[in-house]
Amino acid sequence: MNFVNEQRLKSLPRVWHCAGGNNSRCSLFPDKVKIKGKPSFVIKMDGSIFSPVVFDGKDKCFVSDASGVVACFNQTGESLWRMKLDSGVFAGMVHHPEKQVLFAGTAGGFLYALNSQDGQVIWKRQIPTSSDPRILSDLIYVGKIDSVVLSSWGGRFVAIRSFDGVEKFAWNAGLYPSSGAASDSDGNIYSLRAVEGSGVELVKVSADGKETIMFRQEESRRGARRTLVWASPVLDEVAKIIYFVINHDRGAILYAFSMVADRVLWKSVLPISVQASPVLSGDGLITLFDLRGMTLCFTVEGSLKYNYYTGCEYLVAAGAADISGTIYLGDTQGKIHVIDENGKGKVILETERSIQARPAFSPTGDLFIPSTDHNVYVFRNAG
Amino acid sequence: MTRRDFLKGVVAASTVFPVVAAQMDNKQSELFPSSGSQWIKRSPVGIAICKRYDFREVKKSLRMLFDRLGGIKNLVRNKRVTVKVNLVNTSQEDVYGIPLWLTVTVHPVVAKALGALLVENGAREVIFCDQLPFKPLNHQAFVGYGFDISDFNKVMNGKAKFVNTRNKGEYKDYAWVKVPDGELATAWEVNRVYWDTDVLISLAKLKNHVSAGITAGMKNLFGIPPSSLYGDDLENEPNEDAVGYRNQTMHNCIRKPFTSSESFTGKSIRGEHGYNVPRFIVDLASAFPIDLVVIDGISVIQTAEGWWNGSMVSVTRPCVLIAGRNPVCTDSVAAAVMGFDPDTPDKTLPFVNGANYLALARRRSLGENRIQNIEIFGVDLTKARVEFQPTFRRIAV
Repeated sequence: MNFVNEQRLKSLPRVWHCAGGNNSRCSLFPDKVKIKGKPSFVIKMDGSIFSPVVFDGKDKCFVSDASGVVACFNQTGESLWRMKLDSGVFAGMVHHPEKQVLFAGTAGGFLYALNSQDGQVIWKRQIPTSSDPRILSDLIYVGKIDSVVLSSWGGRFVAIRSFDGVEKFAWNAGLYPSSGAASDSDGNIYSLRAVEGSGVELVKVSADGKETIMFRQEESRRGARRTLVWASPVLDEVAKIIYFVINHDRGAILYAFSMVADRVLWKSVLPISVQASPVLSGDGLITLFDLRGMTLCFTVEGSLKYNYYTGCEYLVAAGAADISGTIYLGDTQGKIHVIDENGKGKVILETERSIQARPAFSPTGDLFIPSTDHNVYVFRNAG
Repeated sequence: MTRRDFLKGVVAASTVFPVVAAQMDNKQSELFPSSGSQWIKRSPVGIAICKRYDFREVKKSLRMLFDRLGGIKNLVRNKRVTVKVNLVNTSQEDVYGIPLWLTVTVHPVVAKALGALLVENGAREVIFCDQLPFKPLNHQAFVGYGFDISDFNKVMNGKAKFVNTRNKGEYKDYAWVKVPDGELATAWEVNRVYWDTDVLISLAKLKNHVSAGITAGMKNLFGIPPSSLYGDDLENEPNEDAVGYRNQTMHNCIRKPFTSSESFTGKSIRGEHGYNVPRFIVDLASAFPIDLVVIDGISVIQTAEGWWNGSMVSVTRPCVLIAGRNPVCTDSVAAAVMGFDPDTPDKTLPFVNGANYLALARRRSLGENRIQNIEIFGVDLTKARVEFQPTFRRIAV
């Protein structure tokens, strides 16, 4: 293993406390995972599940659904507590890595801090908006500023202090923001936004709230108002690259942006838009899931390594990868795919309804895949 | 008495067709006492899980729903059937590259499967229609929506016909259809294909709607009033070449349509984006009694109704088909499948921008909207529910 890969291995999250694992949103588990064809158990919720499962790093996992229920389960799927919030949860939750606090944002525009031991509300705060309150962006917790970062359709990203719910700072989130922010180990926050008359921008916000526009792609023919900004930026902190997708009319462009040279390293034009966040896998490979139902894997230099067709018309949620480069993915026809490092895939299970949430790994490498059929399918890691 | 029988009886005397709901085919609904002296129509509603637009799979699901509804043979045998399809105002667009039929409009496979079942059950002729913004009045107008007439006729023994109802079409005049107890409209002037028929089916898409809250079987009827009389592209008089939408006459109501009806009382109210649309929905459903509602909820968009709502919309896949004989009951179950309370007060989700049209419809005795009073078969509602992201709160100007 070369130095970069050793470094990468050390940087990868074993405890997936937010959507995409950790603040880099890389969705890459630092071990080889081997799962059996059938789920070991199923977690049942009240409503459809659109957000990934998150973990506390000890023995608990947390699931939220679109009926507004947040629930905690142990390693065997036994329910420990349930809490009903004001409205449905569509955005990924985040668990504070040290304190025992779980944060959840709702379609009603409330951010909740829940005691992750018993689900009781520590505080809740309504994100101010004059138009639409919903929170769709996956949450992250940024330790440097001890804050939870999210956006609402009010059009602002906000950093909310984790201990009391008070706003620390805010910045423009653009039109209909659905994309979650990512953050590096220095506490810099990276977000995408669509701005009318300007286009789509990649923004860096430092720990003191200062905003820098790192990259701007001009408005497409259809305009910013019709540009879906949903996929989060993904950081490869070892290679110092930010990967992000900007949709452009019917298509999209995948960018690899150097955090050192402050410029685009390469870009790849895609025939259709992308909603799901990219996934880092293997030796710095980057994998996309598009609205044609294709999985596309690119090398670190930007050439296409493989593509894999899921057989469904479109994909809305990202997959998750293990260190061998295997991708685990649920599609909108409910099929769960395992795609090896060469792009050869197989379907291991078909759930009763569509899958619209990304998978997550427990600290031991068990795979948790939520479905809109109200279940989370849990596959034991036999590796 | 069927719609056509009724029509035959009065057509010689007048071109005015007063509609009394009780005189129509009432077999689809039974009457139940409600509060006070009001009687409410109720009919069971079926939900089927269907994950793919596979012809056999969709047809099998629809057949199961129709069987559980008591069959459709008595409804359609030897009848002329008009299917109002939810196709919307262009076929040239998409949602982030995803075709309209996976997001905004009824998928052709659902329409074809429905058509095949109607013919198998003895329908004499099946006319799929909507008002489309294209000059051709025949099947050519439907091509962009994935509706291929030869494909349909292969499975429908040549009994399919596509009609673009943006004007009076092949008829000499319009049908003038009175609205019983109309609130904003006292009468509609429409292409006769919607009236000169024995059976009216609403084939709808399951979506949120910014003005109506949700769009399903009843809102689908919004496509009936023709551009030639109600269109935004009209200047000072009716025009058979018009193709425009009906924002000015039926959404914001800044002008009246060019119909013979003097009493068209939609109004533009500041801050009341959802005043007109829910009321017109009920006025349409009241004038055009629907015999069967079929809702395509396999792959749809959420939050709003079309590509024109920009990136507030996103694709979702509930994997359901819904069918029922009473449109209020069916739409109410559709709302519940989307995670909403169909009897919620006005200006609350999903009817956040105006009136709850389902509650309005119940008050007009068109059907039951309280979910606990509706019999549901097929998949249990608790299991069928796939929550939609709610509708955007719009401030009208």
